[in-house]
Amino acid sequence: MSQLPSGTYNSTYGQDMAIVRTKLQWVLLIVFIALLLTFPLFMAGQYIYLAIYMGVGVIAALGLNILTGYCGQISIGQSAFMAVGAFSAGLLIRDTGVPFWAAIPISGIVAGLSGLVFGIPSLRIKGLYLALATLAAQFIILFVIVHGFKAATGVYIPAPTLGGITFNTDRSYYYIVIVIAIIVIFLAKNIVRSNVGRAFIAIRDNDIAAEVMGINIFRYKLLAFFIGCFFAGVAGCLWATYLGLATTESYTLLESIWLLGMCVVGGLGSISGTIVGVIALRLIDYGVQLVGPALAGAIPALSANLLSALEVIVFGIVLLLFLMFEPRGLAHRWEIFKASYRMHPWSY
Amino acid sequence: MSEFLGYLIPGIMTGFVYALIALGFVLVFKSSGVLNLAQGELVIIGAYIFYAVAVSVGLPLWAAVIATLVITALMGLLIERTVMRRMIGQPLLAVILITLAIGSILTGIMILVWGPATLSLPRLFPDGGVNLLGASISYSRICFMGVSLVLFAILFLFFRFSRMGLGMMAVADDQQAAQSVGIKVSTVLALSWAIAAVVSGIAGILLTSVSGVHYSSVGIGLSAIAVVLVGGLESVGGVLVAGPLIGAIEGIAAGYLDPLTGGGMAEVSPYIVLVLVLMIKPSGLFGWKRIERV
Repeated sequence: MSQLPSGTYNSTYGQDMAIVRTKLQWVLLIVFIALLLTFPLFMAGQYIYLAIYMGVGVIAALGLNILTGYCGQISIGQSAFMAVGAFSAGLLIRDTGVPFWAAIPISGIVAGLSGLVFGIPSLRIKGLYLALATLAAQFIILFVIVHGFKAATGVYIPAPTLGGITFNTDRSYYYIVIVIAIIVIFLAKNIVRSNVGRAFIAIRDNDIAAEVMGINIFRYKLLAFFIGCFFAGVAGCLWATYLGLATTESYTLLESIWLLGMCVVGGLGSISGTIVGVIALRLIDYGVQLVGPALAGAIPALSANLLSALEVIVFGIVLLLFLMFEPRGLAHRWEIFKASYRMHPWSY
Repeated sequence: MSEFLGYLIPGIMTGFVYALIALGFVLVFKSSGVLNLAQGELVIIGAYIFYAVAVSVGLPLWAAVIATLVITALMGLLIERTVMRRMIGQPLLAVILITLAIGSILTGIMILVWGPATLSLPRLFPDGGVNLLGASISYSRICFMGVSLVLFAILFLFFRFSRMGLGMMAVADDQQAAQSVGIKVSTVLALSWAIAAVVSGIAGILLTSVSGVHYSSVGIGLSAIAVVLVGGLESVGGVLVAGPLIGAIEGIAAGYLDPLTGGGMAEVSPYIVLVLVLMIKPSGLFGWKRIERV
């Protein structure tokens, strides 16, 4: 960020603030989006499934990264807020006949409001204690969904329609996810570089100092909870509609830990890092699923449980290694690399 | 009345085992400031190790118990030596996440080695029970309380009179001061992890001796966090009060509210207590209030 390519200078405020700064970056961005949009035309089915899985993960992890990476409020219950989104979408669509397109923002808002309930303690407690409050949220929310709404067996959701098109295949649903993911990435990027984002960063770095500077800590902490859980709700709504079924099994504590792991591997406090982190961990997971059966064939003694065990072990080891050796994530590595090639023959 | 006591007394007795698990949290937190969210996994893996040495290897029960203690202690030492020692001075999120990562690896090992079947441990306690004030209490619950109290007594003597135990108290009080009077802080940290792993392993054996071992029951260990918070994060004695309290609340909530909600109160009630404590008195009953300056 501090380093621009040789011969490029910022001479206006607009240039300084631009997300896409050079012509090459524009070309790469347009090519990337074009590739994303044509992706289903030349890819096999399971990759489209994987892409949808990643897209939903990106939306949820971005919310978590704004809450945890930017505002510093550790949340171990992100997937429970996805569950809130999933079930509110499911119940709305099934019982009241609200169209899917209206259910997306509504489920986000419901999840955001439930996030506020667990964010209110953040006025008094922080750090460790807040992490425990969100851990409790994970269990309490799932309990309320299962026993309060009698939804233990899940809620079936019909495929969404628009005009005459029914989005009931992976290929068609992919476009819904990808468009919403791009909108969410755009929103997230702009939230964190606005005054709101700077307030979040100030609170993360030192909340007492931030308050002294005139930032209303309570308001911004709650805002961070709302935004983080709103994104989680949208992600939950999309995932449940894709599966056609909202069920608590998709939103366990382990899933929350995965989302935190994605933020760490990608880089806490980095929007592009989050996207990379989600893609990296989902690819590793997919790789394990590919390698697992072959490995199970090679070691017959362990074959029965190898696949499900390998997934959690590999995830744990990846997370462990990143925390021990590169706690700032892939985004930091990329910044170092970018700075060094822009400086190239001279390293200072 | 006898119905109420029938929910209350077994709850309190199970609560002593929660106090044991919570002691594991508190020991590690006091000495190193790490909240170990892998505690639930340590509890269940202790039970699995007991199953392995008692049933798979076929050692007599007393030898199996001793072997389990040794193996869990070594496991605690290994975790501290390889991972946690590198995390000293790292930010809170990294430390919390690394314990979650350890938990994830331990879960994977449990699935890999023992599989998804529920394994039943050899019988430790006689069946049947006694009648107390009109409520029937099974012998296993009484043994829960007895074993936990004996362990607490041993640990109390250890902290009060042994050289190492006094060193641990000193490190918990002030790491730098302890180091300057010649106490090896790294040994103390390793020892606190070993003791934490051992007490949670024993708690795991006790809890699963009735219900059988399955890796999905790690939630039991995690819900002991409520005990820690009610007692106060820094208070060893606090868990002895808070454990039975949480056990009683859990027993009563499960007894009276389960018919209304259709089950699940036993699992969720500790977390509800946890949120209430966080909102009302985050430092718990016996914890330290912190004053922070910029």
